[in-house]
Amino acid sequence: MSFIKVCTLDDVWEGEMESFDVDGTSVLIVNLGEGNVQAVQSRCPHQDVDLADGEICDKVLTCKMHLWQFDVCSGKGVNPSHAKIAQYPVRIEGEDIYVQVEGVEEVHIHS
Amino acid sequence: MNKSLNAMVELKGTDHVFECSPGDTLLAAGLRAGLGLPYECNVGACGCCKVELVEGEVEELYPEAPGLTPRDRRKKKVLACQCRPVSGVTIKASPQDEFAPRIKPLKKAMTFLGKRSLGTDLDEFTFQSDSTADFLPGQYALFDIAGVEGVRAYSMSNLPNDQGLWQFIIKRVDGGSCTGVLFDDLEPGSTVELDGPFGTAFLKQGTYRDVICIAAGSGLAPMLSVARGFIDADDTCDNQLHFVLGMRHLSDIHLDEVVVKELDTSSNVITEVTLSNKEAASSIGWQGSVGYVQDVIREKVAAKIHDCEIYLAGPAEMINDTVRMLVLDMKVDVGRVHYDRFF
Repeated sequence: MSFIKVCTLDDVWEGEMESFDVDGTSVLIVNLGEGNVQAVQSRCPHQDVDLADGEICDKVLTCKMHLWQFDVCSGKGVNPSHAKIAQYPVRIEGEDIYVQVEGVEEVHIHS
Repeated sequence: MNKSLNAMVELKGTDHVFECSPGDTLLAAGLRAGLGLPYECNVGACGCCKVELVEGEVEELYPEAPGLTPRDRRKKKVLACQCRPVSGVTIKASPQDEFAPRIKPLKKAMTFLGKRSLGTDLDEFTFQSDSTADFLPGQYALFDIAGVEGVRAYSMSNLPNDQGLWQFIIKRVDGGSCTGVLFDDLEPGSTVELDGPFGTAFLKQGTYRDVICIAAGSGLAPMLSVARGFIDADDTCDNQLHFVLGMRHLSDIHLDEVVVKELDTSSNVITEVTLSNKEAASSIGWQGSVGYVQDVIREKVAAKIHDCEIYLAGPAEMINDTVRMLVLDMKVDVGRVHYDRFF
């Protein structure tokens, strides 16, 4: 199980987020400040919209399309409460942000 | 490729395969095949129908469509509502039950019967198809008018019926090519091609909750259909419907035709009309609400907002502002809020 380098702290400043392709998986890196960096799936589980195009405020991530909201620290849906997003383990070494995508399944609404 | 043959479309990673007839978009073909491909506006603006083109070629009807971001294009995404396959194609998409059509959208020729004025530059158009009119209250149809480039989406204002009647309340757009034809050139007896029904913001049955319909501008038609459907339904007698209608001037809509004659006569419908042009309202001695629909919501229905199904229709900015207020400020569950945005 390996951690892959995704980007540096200079690529995603405090209070910002950006999506990156990590070994075929689209991962959203969210820098909440004070060394707290979260990594979650960048595809909204509702309709595949890129969550990087949405808003992040404190730890609440809002999707631009239908305003679904998630807590990036717990992966749980704020609205709707039944929603959730996959979380990926993060390691920071110096300025570098590493993420592990193996073994984690993205969440999306199935038909 | 022989342009008269159907193109095969495969969904990668699934067993789903469907045929796309010449002239049909990927989205319409998928929906006609019963596949719940996500979509909203059907005209390239919202981006909800984007899919990844894995293999094959498509013709893009609207290359600069605002629904695609530069990041989308880098990832080979296309808008299913704006693409026609040129060869067999494989796409990556995530169909959902919510979008699987309850009534299969079909192209049909309709006869224009006539129109009547319902306000300033606002007419109710009636068309007749040669089979029953099947749609759900709140849905829309795409008009393909000879001489007008591209299709236009208009919502039905009446209810499904056996007589084959489809009614639309359409506002003339200044300089608009389609409304110019509809208002000025269309003669009773002439034929128009419609495709539909489309839309997922239709009246939900069996919720046993009160309903709030929020209409502004062109949103009058689908909200009237939803309200009519509510009045007509068997399972709504213990519920109320609040019809919140926003206008700029009192003359925009003939309230006696729309509100007084019909909605006000129903004992479980409460209408709230608000005029946003305050000076004009006070100059005619208007005693009702002034301001925007969001103000009426906050002042009149905030207390019960979490127990309602909410439908919105009108200009996209009104919908976006009101949905933000409902969901982000008032914390209404996103699943209770229904709308189709047309940009």
